[in-house]
Amino acid sequence: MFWKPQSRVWYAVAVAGFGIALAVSFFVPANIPGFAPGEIHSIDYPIDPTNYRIVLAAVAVVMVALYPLSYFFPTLRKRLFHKAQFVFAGALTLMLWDLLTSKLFVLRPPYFPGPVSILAYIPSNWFNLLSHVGASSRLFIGGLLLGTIAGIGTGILIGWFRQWFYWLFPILKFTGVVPATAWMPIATVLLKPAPVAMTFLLVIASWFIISFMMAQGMESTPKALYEVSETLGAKRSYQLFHVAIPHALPSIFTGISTATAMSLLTLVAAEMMGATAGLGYFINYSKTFNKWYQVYAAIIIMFIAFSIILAVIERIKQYALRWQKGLVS
Amino acid sequence: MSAVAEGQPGALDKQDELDALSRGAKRRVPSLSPTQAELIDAAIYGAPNAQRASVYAFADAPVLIDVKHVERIYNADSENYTHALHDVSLQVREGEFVSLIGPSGCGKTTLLRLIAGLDFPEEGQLTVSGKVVAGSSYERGYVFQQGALYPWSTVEGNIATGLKARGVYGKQKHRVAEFIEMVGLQGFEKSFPHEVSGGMAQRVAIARALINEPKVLLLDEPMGALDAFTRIELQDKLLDLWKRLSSTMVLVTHDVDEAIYLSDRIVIMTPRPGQISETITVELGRPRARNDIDFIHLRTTILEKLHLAGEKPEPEFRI
Repeated sequence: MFWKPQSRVWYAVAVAGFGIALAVSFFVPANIPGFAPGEIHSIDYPIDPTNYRIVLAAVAVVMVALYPLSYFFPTLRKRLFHKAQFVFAGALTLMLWDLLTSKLFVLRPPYFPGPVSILAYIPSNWFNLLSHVGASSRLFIGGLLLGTIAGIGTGILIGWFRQWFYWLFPILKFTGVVPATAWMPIATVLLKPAPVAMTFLLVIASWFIISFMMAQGMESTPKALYEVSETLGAKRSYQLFHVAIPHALPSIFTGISTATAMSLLTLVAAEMMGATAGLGYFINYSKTFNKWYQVYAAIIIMFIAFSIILAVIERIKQYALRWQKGLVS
Repeated sequence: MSAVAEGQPGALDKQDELDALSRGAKRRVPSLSPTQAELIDAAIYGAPNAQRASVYAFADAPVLIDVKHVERIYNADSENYTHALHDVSLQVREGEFVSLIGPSGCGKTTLLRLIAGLDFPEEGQLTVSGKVVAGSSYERGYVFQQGALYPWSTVEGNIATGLKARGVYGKQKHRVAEFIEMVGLQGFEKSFPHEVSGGMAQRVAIARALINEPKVLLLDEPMGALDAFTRIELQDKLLDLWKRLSSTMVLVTHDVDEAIYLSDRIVIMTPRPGQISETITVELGRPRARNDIDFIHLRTTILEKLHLAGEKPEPEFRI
């Protein structure tokens, strides 16, 4: 698992990497073209490097502090040493990014803001950003939840009853082939207020794949499992809830994972088009005002927020499929 | 065992042989016929089992399963149909342990499925305690080849399935622990099927079927996928359960030793179309020893009936 060289040298190098990045931030002068170094000029993006330096220093300090601690936790030590090279590469990337943008202006603002600008922006506007995260999350969770419920419901119907399959499956297939974003103009016109329209789009995005996977999982149940329950005295309803649906559970979660990705895609696209809040809206809004550091900040926040959502779904999956542990890797 | 004697070189008329010798023919060395072998064995070990008093104890027991002239044809309306069973009649008495044995394709599993009500015959009739089999029922427990345990359910959950499916789990909860103990799976209650060994999994499957107190337990090669040691262990467990619950069991197997070790009667089936060729009563007292001379005799007989005995080596000299 931790196969990288277990050497403290790489760990030291990684810490040093952050030192170098700090040194670059402190000692390389900002060579703004057209201005002499140090000359005051008018700019419309944050350039205060304090937050950036704090982050670099904090990482270095944490790494130094973890080192003696790692003597008591062998797994932690292995993990730290395993990750050392990557952390070092991360430090170098930050340094290079800082150098190319804020220092040498090879990559120019406003399209390429440095880490300095982004990190200066985020903490000073955290409340604003958080409200957008909240708006996005609410929509996303609501849409995915409704889509999952609808998907599982229709999945059971088409997977268990021939009549439902006959009537419902073609419709389902239609909504599955057409991307949810194609409905956006119709939804935004017909469904008011905007969150309702977007929830509808998210439901469309997740409904098909979840119900499809659900039905497929039920249909692939081995005949022997039904026959066993039959010889044990089970009725049809018992077979549905205790054989077919449990057997479909791994498939459902495959469906939910895919639906999550599709929903996030639809969410951001929909927010960019017709919302007044949310991270997608914020990105679009920032672009309009040429505040590209806000766009990058929103992307980073998006990464963090969506990672948390995915981690929660993964946890639920692991709990629901705990009987599979060791059966599949 | 006399059926084998005919047509064997040992049964050649003595006078013919002498005539042939007088004409200058080279003396031929006949191999020992089973009859002769039996006589020799009888002299050494005592009378063979067939001559002892019968140990078959179910002659007067009521008939539980009655299979009458059953035909089963798969894809009957298509050109490449399979005649799985032809004119099969069989009676299983209460408390009996019966084995169905035969090469693959002889319809032994089909017959078992018909008794279970998982499949239906084209012709003929099956009754279990007088009632025509019209579908599966918990009164006929079935153990599948690979166990067919529910992978999402624990050992305990699997064994409790029958009670839950019948809606009596609330009242009879305590019986789950009872059956876990009976098959020796204490400590594995919370394990999932893939976490226990193949032998344990089959014990779970057997307990799961038995918890409903079926009139008959139908076992479809439950030990087919197990190694020899586990198999012997599970055979003893099965006999133990059979005695303890005094249940009726019908076992499908392709292992002759297993059939002899467990059964009161062995039904030999032949393929294409599948039919019963012979029913042998196992006149061996219990517990049985696999290296007992009578056991080995019976095995030889059955193997010969199944044409599995193979060629015997010529003896080097005559006694």
